[in-house]
Amino acid sequence: MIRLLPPYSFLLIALALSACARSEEIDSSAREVAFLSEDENLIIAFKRTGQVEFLAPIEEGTCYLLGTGSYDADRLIDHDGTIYGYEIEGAELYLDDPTHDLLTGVYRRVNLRSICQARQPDPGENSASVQPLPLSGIEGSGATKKRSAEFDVDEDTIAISVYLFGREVGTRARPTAFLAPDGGNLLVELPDISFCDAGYCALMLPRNEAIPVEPGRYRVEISGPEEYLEEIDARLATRKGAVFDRTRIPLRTVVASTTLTDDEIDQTIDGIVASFEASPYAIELTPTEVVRADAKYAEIVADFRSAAIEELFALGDAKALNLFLIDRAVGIPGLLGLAAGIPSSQGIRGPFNGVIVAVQTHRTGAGVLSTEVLADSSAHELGHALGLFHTTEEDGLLHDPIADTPECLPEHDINGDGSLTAKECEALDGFNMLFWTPVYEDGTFAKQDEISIEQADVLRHAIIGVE
Amino acid sequence: MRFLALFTLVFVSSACAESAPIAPEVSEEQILASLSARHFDPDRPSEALKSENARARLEALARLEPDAPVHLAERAAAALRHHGASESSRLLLLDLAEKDETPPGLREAALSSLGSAFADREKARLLALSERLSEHPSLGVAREARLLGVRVRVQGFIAPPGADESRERDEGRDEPRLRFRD
Ligand SMILES: [Zn+2]
Repeated sequence: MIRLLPPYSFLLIALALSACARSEEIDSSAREVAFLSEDENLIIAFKRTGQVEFLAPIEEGTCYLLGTGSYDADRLIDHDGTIYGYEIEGAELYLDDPTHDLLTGVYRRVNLRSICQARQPDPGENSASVQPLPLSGIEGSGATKKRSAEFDVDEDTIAISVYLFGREVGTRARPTAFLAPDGGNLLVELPDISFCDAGYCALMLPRNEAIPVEPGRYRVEISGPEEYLEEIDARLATRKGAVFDRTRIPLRTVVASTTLTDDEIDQTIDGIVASFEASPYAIELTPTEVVRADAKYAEIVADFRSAAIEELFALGDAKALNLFLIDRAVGIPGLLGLAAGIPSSQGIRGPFNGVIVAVQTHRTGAGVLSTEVLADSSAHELGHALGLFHTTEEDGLLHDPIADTPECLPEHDINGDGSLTAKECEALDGFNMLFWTPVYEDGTFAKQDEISIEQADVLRHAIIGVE
Repeated sequence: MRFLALFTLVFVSSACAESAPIAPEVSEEQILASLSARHFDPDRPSEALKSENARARLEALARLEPDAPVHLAERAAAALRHHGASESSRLLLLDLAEKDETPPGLREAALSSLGSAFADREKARLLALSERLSEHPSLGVAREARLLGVRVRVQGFIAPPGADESRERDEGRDEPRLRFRD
């Protein structure tokens, strides 16, 4: 148990009133004051609102919020009303947990943002089809500001993607307008033109046949707090020329798994190629040399902003679909596969251009691997990487923006259990590569290799498609 | 061919391996369908997986029979965080998390569920387990073991089940993502 030091209580009152009060020690712009445990596994953050937060800094740039409570001048109070005495002396927090003795200790002052603010990897190296997209200066007033970019598209251009990278891209900084040459905001017309996840957004045309690329001037607007807009890296990917009768898309396979045999790799790649071969319009995935990665990447955190993904994805190819076969993805139980984006940053060799597929989750308890299912999972993720959304989600309420993929609706939920199986949707999209679940019924896996004409049209417009 | 034969066989046989009764309002098919999504988030499962009637089936799947798919076992263990039953916590702790022969992915899922839902039980044992596994050669096991230890320590500050406070936070990231891969 720690010794309490009453004379310092005034500091805590000040702290409760304003995090800025201790001007010499506390950054006046800080939103909160935070302390790290000696074992560096726990952060206690005092919010201006009177709330105290408990966070675990698990990976570089990622903190998990585990719990909250309230605080006053010298006490933290948990959900049961248990009292924990605390004091701050200089850069140290002394915490007393007389009830459980689990939190008792000395915590040192840290900058919460430097620990918990998302890591932003280098977005990577452009191929010839990708150019930097210069953004305007910060515009507007108030808390939310804007940056924009304009670019001209010529008659030869058949596909464009705008990629945005930055720590708060996809969360606090987002594209809010994508103006076509006719002045219409495509994000209003079709919100699915934009896809965002933490650290990355992509605006893609065409997403379907209804909204093709038109020649003329496009304008992108991104909104968010100034500090997050400043650091955005924007790039423009274009494909010019003809749409081919037979479109080839290079497939690069990087194997970090230590358990896959060469035969199993070959079978998996063959299965993926076969899945796309069933596509209307001819879509031919052309496998390039298989690359073996260091075994240290066999188990990897499923976060595309992580240093490990950045290193592993450096083995990818800007001009290919990049498939990374790992043994296990950390942090998402039972993960089969995950694409870095819809689409991934095609044309750039970097951490948002690729898909990870976990091998061990495709095994049985006895270790038997189904390369057929591994190939199916890979094909599904590569479909995302090429810009396709799920045709139908579990409840039948959300569908892709493509007109000719049948929509399986809640009314097709024959047994009324709220979950559409491939069997219930078999006359519709149950066998589509982008259906939300691979299960047919009673645990039977369906072979999902159907691709609609319009989905295939999106695929053949891929930035990385070649003749 | 419309179906993938190998997984068909193992999946069906695993589905038959457990004799625990399932109440009619949550079907076997519903549990398997929800668990088998291309992209599964244990913190946002379907209502079916949260139903008490699903618990026995989830426990059976989490035991990972030799012919059952690993991804289902991991997801079932992860989904047990929504079930407060002592049978679930015993399975997660005694049969999965504490056993060195448990495959790393399944062990990580069990540790994750223990930390998410059972951190208020058997604290000394959980802390000892956390310490023992915090340097485990599996990145996932070590990471969840450390997280488990922290969760036990701050257990009083973890909101009651249903409050959904256990979420990723990147310095104030509290807005929903725009569109997930799923
Ligand atoms: Zn998917």
